[in-house]
Amino acid sequence: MNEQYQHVYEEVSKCNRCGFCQAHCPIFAVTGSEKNVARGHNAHVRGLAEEKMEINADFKDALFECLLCKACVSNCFPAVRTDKAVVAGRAEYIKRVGQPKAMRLVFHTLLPDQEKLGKFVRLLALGKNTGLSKLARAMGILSWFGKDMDKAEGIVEKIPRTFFRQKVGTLRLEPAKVKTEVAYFVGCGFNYMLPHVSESTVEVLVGQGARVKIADNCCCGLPAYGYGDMEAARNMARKNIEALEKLKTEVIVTECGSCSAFLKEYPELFEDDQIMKKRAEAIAKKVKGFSEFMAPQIGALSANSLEGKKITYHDPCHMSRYQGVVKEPRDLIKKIPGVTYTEMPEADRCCGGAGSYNIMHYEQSMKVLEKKMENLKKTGADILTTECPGCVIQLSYGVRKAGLPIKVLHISELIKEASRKG
Amino acid sequence: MEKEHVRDALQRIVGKENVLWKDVDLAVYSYDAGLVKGKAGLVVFVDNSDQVAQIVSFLCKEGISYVARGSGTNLTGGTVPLNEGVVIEFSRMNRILEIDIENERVVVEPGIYNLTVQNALAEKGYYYAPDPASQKASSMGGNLGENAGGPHCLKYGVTSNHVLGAEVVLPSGEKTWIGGKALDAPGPDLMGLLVGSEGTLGIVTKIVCRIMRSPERVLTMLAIYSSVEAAGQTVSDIIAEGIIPATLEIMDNVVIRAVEASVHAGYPLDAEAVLLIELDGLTDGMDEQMKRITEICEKNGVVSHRIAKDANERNILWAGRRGAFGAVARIRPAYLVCDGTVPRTQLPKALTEVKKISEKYRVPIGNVFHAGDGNLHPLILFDDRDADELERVHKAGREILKACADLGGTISGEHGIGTEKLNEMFLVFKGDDIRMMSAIKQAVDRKGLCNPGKVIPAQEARP
Ligand SMILES: Cc1cc2nc3c(=O)[nH]c(=O)nc-3n(C[C@H](O)[C@H](O)[C@H](O)COP(=O)(O)OP(=O)(O)OC[C@H]3O[C@@H](n4cnc5c(N)ncnc54)[C@H](O)[C@@H]3O)c2cc1C
Repeated sequence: MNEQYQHVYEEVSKCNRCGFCQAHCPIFAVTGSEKNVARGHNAHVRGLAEEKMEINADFKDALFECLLCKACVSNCFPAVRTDKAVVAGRAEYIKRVGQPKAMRLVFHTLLPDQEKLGKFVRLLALGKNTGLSKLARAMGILSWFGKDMDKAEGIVEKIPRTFFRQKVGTLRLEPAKVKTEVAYFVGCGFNYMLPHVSESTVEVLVGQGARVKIADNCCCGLPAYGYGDMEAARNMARKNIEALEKLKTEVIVTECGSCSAFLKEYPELFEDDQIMKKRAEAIAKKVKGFSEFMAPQIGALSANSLEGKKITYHDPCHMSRYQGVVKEPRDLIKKIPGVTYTEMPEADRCCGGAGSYNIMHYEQSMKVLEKKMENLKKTGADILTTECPGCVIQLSYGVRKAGLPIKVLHISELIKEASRKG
Repeated sequence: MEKEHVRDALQRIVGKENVLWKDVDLAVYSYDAGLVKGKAGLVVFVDNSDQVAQIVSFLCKEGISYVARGSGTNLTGGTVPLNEGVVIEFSRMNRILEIDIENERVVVEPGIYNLTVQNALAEKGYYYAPDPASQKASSMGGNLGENAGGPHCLKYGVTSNHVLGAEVVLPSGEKTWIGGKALDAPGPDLMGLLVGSEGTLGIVTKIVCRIMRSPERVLTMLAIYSSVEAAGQTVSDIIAEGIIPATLEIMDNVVIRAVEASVHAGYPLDAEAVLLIELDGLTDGMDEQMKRITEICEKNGVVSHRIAKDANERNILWAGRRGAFGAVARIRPAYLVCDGTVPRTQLPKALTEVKKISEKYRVPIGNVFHAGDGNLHPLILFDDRDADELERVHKAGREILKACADLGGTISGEHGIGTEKLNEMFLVFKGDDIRMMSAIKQAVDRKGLCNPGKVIPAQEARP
């Protein structure tokens, strides 16, 4: 028995190979290959755990092509946690087969450090905006974006001139009448890529009477966890727990579905460290996603420029299947007078963004996205909204590529517009 | 035989990326939903019948065995490759080629899921009757291979009653058509021979099926009982009354609990049995029929009953039934399903036997069955990591099938034989009939390369 897999062995042993996961896996829908579907992952991890197989470089595709979207898990009768099994496989893979140097640099040096990461992204922006990306690529750092960087360039919208954190000084964080106090966890996707969304979130929070304390957090650690780099994930979790403890708020809000999901899972990272686990639990309890926090308490909204618009919602995997937050965003949208909410078929089907998946596995990610666009077209919506930066970027790209006259907004932007006075 | 040589040849036919040959990738083609494991030599993804014909010709020439694979959801090892054979994988050959409403036919490629076909037909107000509980993930090719049945087959018959024609690549590599859109082909029933042959007589590359107009109305009732016998008696009484509902499905308490833990279909946890009765057809007279059925339920001491208010409620009730096999993994990690069938009137006796066997071998058994057809599915629950238990499970499974045969029934209602029930074939076939099967197989597949070692037991193996 390989100790590495102890925590997932019971799980994968529950897979009775019924194969129903084939009907739900977005990757299997594209490849039709058993190595890409939960039943295959469970068989692999079981083989590894029982030492009937040995990890080697050939495992790369099977392990790393999974989106971790959990569609299999939520449709599996015994609910086998294939996502955890895959991550366990990845963890052993990077330990035994290896991890690209650049990847290590990203997880151990850049992501845990806002400033370094900021500098790096700037550099990237420089490359992108002036055609110097070759320089950046030569630094070897671009492996972060995988071999398909050329194709993937269209995915990363132009990197903004100013990051959110650089603007904090100019923002209003104190409401006229303080009703409550919240910590705002700044997701990297928003800080570096979509700062206007962060601004919307803060504005809405303050508008609702919340004093906003900006957390001095780094990356939540999910990219490292998803890649199987547990050491890096724990390191970032530790830093963030400390940063959040300092703020002493009752609530921690983030509009990043992936961050809120992963913050809530922090305790699971510290099974071997009971003290850290307790601290992680205390933090996890306070975490709320944007719609989860807003839906029960938001006041009157008005349509403003949204008047007469048809709006639909895409469930990020990390909101729906990881957190079970499905009703709240829809409730929020339905509270806007003068707009129609229309449900998209398979609204919770992964869009193929999955963190950096779209950059590492471009072709497959695009096929997954095409399916999403077909469903989107069926809604006839004017606005597509969601609650995750990865999804916003991926969906915007999809809409543009398909030439659809549909606007993609993060739900906090939508609510900001609807809370505007007059 | 050099594996590289075969790989290169196959790659020339289907393209480099459509052949899997690394151990890691082959490992996940060593199983299906049954319990036996094998080892694949290579896996090849096919896209069209010409490719299949070329592949089979080549393998025939080289003397390499092969097996067609749909979704690998069969429960008897039908797709498990023996002798490191080549797996011909149909998952990407999954188009609907034609929906011919005027003639009420649909033409599909084998890799398409049963449910995908159903959904496309539903948009046009039609459906395809065979509805295996695995419909969302099992392929039309696999359904044909196993002669799949489902809850609605009580009224409408199994796959063989609905497949009218097929394009087939014979073991020689020759491509041919059997049957077609017409209802009945003259001469011996080759189509009948092919359906249920578990891919041992050729590989199907196109399938022509009969489709039917969606019923005007559907009524689904959930009836709760405090004993399985009472539910079973209700079934007999309904049919004795001359009513043939679309479905009559029973689940016992073990299964009810497992289902509720995963699907929340709304079955009461303390019920000893639930019976799902569905009527479909013309609106006229349906209420009267349901009333009559309700009376029969009441006569048999039904605890309570309710009718699904709308399609949504109906789907929830069915989700429970469809999830029954998978759900038992909540109780133990693995299961063996014995798909024995008995004449309907023998159901109570068969269930008593199952209970005895469960106690004798100390293995929990849950029951879910197509009660109308007398098709049992005792699910023997166990942990496949426990060798001693596994041994007892296999013994119990064999004994259940023997009990069914002894009661005048048979060893498989719909899941086929594969490798797992080869020995049990002797319980129901006495000798000449198996010889005839072997002779047919020999005539069609002279080299014995087309899914060898399945369905037909070797005469020498007779106990
Ligand atoms: C949870 C669960 C519930 C189930 N419920 C039912 C049920 O209600 N009723 C029922 O009948 N079965 C049921 N089954 C069994 C299984 O789903 C059926 O046997 C199904 O028909 C298999 O389809 P498949 O695509 O998975 O075929 P596979 O398992 O891939 O193949 C089955 C057989 O068909 C052959 N085959 C596949 N494709 C071709 C082809 N193109 N040409 C020739 N031969 C081919 C294979 O060689 C094999 O022998 C269930 C299984 C599970 C796991």
